Amino acid sequence: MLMPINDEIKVIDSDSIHLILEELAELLPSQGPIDVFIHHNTLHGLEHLSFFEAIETGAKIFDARSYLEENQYLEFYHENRIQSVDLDYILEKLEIDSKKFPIIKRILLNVPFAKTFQQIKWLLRESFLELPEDSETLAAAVSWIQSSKLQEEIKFLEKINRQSATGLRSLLQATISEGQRHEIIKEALWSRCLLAVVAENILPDQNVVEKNSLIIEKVNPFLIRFCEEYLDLGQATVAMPNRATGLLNSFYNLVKSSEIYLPDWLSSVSCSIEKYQSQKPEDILLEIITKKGLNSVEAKELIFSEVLALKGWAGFISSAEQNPHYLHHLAGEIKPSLMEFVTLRIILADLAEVFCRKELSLQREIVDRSTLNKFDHLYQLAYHLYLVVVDAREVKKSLTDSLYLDQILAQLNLVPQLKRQKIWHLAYEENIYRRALQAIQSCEPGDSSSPEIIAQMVFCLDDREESIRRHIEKQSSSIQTFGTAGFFGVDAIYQSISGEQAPFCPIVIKPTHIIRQKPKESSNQRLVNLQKRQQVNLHFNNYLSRFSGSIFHGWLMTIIGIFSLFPMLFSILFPRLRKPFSKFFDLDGMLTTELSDLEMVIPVTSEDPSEIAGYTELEMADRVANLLQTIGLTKEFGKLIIFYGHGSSSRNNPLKSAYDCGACGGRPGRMNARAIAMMVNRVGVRELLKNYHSIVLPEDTFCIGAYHNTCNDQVQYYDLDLLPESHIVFFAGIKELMNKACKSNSLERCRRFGQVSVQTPLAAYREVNSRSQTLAEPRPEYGHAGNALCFVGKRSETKNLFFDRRAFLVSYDFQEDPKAQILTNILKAIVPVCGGINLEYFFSALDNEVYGAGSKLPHNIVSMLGLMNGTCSDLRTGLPQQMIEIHEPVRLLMVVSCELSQLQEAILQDPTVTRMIHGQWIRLICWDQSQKLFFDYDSDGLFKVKSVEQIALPVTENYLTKIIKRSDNLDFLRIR
Amino acid sequence: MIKLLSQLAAQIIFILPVISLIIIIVDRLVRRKVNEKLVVSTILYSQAMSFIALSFIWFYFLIDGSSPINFFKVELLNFGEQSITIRFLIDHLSLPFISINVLLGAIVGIFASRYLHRDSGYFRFFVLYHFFLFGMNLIVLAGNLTGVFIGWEIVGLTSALLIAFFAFRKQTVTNSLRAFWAYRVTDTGLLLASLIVLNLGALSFSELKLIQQPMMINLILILCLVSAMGKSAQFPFGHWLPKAMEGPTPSSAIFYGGLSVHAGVYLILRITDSIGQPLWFSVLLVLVGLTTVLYGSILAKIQSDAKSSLAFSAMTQVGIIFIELGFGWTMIVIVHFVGHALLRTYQLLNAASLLHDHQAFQHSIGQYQPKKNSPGNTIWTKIYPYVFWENYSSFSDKWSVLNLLEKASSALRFFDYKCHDILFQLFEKTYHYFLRFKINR
Repeated sequence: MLMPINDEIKVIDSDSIHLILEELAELLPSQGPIDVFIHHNTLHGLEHLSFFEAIETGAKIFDARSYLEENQYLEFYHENRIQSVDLDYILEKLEIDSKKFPIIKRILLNVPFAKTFQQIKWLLRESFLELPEDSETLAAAVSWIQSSKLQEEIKFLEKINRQSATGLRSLLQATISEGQRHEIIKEALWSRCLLAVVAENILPDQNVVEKNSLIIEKVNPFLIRFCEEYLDLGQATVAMPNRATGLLNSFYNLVKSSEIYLPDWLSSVSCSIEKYQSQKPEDILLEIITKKGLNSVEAKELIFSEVLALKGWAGFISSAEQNPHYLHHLAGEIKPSLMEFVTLRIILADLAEVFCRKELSLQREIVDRSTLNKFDHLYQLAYHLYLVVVDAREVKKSLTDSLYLDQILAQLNLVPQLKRQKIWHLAYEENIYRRALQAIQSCEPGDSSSPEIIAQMVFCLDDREESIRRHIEKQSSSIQTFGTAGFFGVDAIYQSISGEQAPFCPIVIKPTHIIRQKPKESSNQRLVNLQKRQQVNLHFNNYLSRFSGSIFHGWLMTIIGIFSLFPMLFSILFPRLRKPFSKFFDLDGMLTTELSDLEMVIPVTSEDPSEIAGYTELEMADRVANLLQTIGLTKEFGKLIIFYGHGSSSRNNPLKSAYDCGACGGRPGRMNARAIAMMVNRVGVRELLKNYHSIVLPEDTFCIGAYHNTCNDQVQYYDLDLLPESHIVFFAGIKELMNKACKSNSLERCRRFGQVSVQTPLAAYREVNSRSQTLAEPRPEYGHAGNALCFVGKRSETKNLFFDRRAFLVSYDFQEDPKAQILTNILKAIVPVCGGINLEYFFSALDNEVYGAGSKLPHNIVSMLGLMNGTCSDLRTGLPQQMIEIHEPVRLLMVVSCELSQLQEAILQDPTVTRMIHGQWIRLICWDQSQKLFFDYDSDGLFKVKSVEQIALPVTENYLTKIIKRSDNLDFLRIR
Repeated sequence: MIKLLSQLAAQIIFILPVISLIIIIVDRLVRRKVNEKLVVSTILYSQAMSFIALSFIWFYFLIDGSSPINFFKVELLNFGEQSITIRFLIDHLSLPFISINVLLGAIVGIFASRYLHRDSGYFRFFVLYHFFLFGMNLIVLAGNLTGVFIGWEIVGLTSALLIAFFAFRKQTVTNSLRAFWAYRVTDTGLLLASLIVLNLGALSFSELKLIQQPMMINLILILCLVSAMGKSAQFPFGHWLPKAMEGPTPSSAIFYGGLSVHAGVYLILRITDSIGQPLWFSVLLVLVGLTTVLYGSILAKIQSDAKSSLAFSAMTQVGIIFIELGFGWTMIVIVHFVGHALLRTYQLLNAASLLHDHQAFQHSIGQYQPKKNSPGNTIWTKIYPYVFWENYSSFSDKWSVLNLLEKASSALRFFDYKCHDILFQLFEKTYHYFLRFKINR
């Protein structure tokens, strides 16, 4: 494995071991238990590098892909997803001489996909390429074959490989007849190309060190089993004893108390256990490394390659060490430690190696495949050259003019595979960026004489809410919609009735307040009944899952098991009929609606410093004012303001939390919407808003918190009993409108699901409802799979644009923000959240086996904390194939509508924002509407004008009926 | 009249998987691409038709349940005066088994048609699924051991191929081979038994009663038991079961929760029903069951992943069914089988919900209430390491009986790694063969 090595080679000591481990911990996946899934940059450990450096380094470290395969890009090119103009733009940007564009494009488009020289030979023989067969070319071919130069070069080629020379030799002896024109020209051209390549390219030898798979096969299954049971958070009925003594000690205990039982390769460990037990882990590590005689660089290589063979488990151990709350109630009982894990791994690898050497007389193989690789590489290059020449229709020239071939070859060598892929990738991204910018440019801000606003709806900035906002606005132009981070500024810890506490805000914020859910006095009895009902259900489920392994209980429950036919039938064949049952037991749904209240004013009662207070009215007013100013809603209030939090409900889906609101820390945002609405409705808060923030809310403006389920498109409203009577009829109208919008939204979503053909909104609504209820659905919704854009600006600037659920829409009015303070805050919240979502999807789609979680089909829940494939595999991190299969891996394009100076100011305020933007992890563009100019933030840290061809997008009417027939990614449209 | 109609119904149930199989294969060859809609509708129609046919058969048995329905006869080989003929029939023993076949086949089929959507192995899965259902039908409907054996082999083959569904991972292929290997060893029993029966001239199960030699009867019993232990994962052949959970969830559910794992139970029921159950055989059954129950339930306790723990639970319950078989409680065996098949299939299909159910449970019983799963200073502290290593030993080289058998064969220098390679290539070839259709398009 190739490592980024920049430290000096020195003798290893315990300090350098600590350094190596720190670096390792940065690189490992940092996913916590899967019940809370927070999207983050998969390569967060390499964030200090620029994006392209990082993906190429990451590819080397993790043995992953850097880009998509070239044939995929070519497919995109032929589907017009990448266009010629995009390639031109990128080549220009890479400062390549414009005269060379045609040849470089030829090189890009004529890539051979054959890997070995046998394949290429077969292709040459079998595939038909059109060659010019006029007599001049033939004459050139013949003269080339007969030239004395060929003789010499055959000799030269013979030195490298005997086999390839024989073909040429036979060609030399062949007689030329008319019928063989094609064959002769082909052979001549091919030999010409091959010889040109051979003469130019003698590649340096590369040693490819193969990891010894036998050793890994011995160590991995044991270590997986061991980690699984050591870290078990409640799956096994009997947990490993004495886990509190640490990972290594638990291992020693296992080995010591059952020595005769050990497998062969481990049995020799028992003699060194006594010694190990008295040593610190780093000393053991040091001892083994010194025994092997490795210097610090080699030691690092060893540790990295060994630990990355199980990067999922290592990553969990490392992050649980830093965040003990990942282990829930077992935080004191399990002591994960990366140092101990690494030590154990190295001990085991050492044992396995010794065993394999001795028993199977096996060396740690160092396979030198360089000769083979080089040979294949030469053939590839020659074939590439051949294809390019044929494509350029310069067969004759290349047969006669030896300089010509050398020129092309020089160009070929200038764009090796990685560079070609990078060009392709940039063009792939440029295409969607260009289309998005054209759409934004062609959008005319609506006429100023907009009708009177009757209601405002505030949504999460989520890309999945883009469509529902469109559908609402389509129905009524007097409803304004806004987008902002879905926690609505309520940065609190939420304590539910059962006492469970969790932070409901972005992970970058440390909550300092608490909000409690408490039962309403009037409904205490109903609540108790409900809780009882739910507990009976949960206890029954728990009984089924925990005791099915025991003898008597298992027997008893299999006899009753006949009745499991009914839930099975309902959850698989008729999922929608199951709904009343699930509602009957669903405490969460019921609780929040009718039976509970939120308690927000909680004074601190004790001296205990860890106790957290609720909000005072002053703090509430701050939060409200901040939110309203951020989204630019400070005047022209409607009769109703509705805050929609969002989340997702699905069954049989361990990754459920990945569909919830990222801004609420991977949880459903219902509490936040409810809390902010209650805050605005408080008389005291309104008073403070008027006095301190000069925001005057009219008396008849009422706020409602609501919850939009993005999976089944249902909406819940909270605290409707407080709704003034004057608003009831009005609200009913709004609700009806929202329901209609939800149904259209379902229809729009359904086009993406295969196997589904629905034509009407109602049918689509039923379909998504059954999706969220069935056991059999691995893709209840597609989540953020479309994400590619983020627009920060007023809604009027994107109104009537169809973004195909691909854009995060953030409301922001730059005119209200002369000091760029609001923009700074917005960027601080959305860069980690949206960037994290985008990069998580990016890397999972780029290489699903390495960065992602692979297919969902064989997934198996392990230790109540994560997923693995089948019965024994590494912990799978990232997103599964079913979530990313329709995702286009492009970096997020963030378009901020403001003045350039504001943006320049804002991106410098927060280190994370600066790092992500400067490293090009997010592509930032400033949209200056007054000048109609785009400023592109370049890798050298400057904003440069980006010229975008002005295209007046035609207005599409009835777009919904047109798009539901298609299931692919669509162009951005202007709609009416 | 009713008899004729019920014969027709039985024929329909028996032949439908084959028809579906032919339809989807022909369609695949003609169109050269996977047609998911067609696959879904074949499942829907074939299972709905089986279901109607099944209710008709139930109707027949409720009205006039005295005689079995003989519905099909096929002549495999003809040696002049003697021929090998397989009769197919439904009687009071096959009825519950065929009903569960149809029921679970339908549920899991519909589950999978949605679950596997867009997977590259969609077509492969359903070819194997229909083939497997056909194999199960053969086992429970065949009127003699030869027929059972053919079904037995089909089930074994499809089982191994589905475990290795994700053949690009080495682990799955290794585990698939483990199951395949256990089947191979134990299937010899059934093969020998059916050869003995043929040799004695007895053809159907009802004719087995006529066998006079007690030695032969004992031999047949013991050989069938070996096969049943292999398929139903009884100690000491059961190691493959927890490792078999490598395929897509629905295939794990229908094979190792629902149907295939109970095939052994059916075989024992059938064979003791026709030649009687000597006392020593009862004792042997109880012993086998008891060891499995102890072994499985102890190992089930330390499993820390959902599917393995369900696998060991299944092993335990099938062990209990073996004990019940030993006591000759046919009715209880059948009730237990039905309940277990349904519950375990549901649990496996539902396995991915486990985490969220667990979280909900933890939250509802109050915050951070520790679960009493740490053994403290009980006997578990002492025996835990042994259980751990026993559990692990199915991966390693010591102690496991199956591993000893493998070792013995590796002395022949064939089965160990070479066999592995050959099979791996075989899987790979099949895989690429399926892929070729795509490329040719």
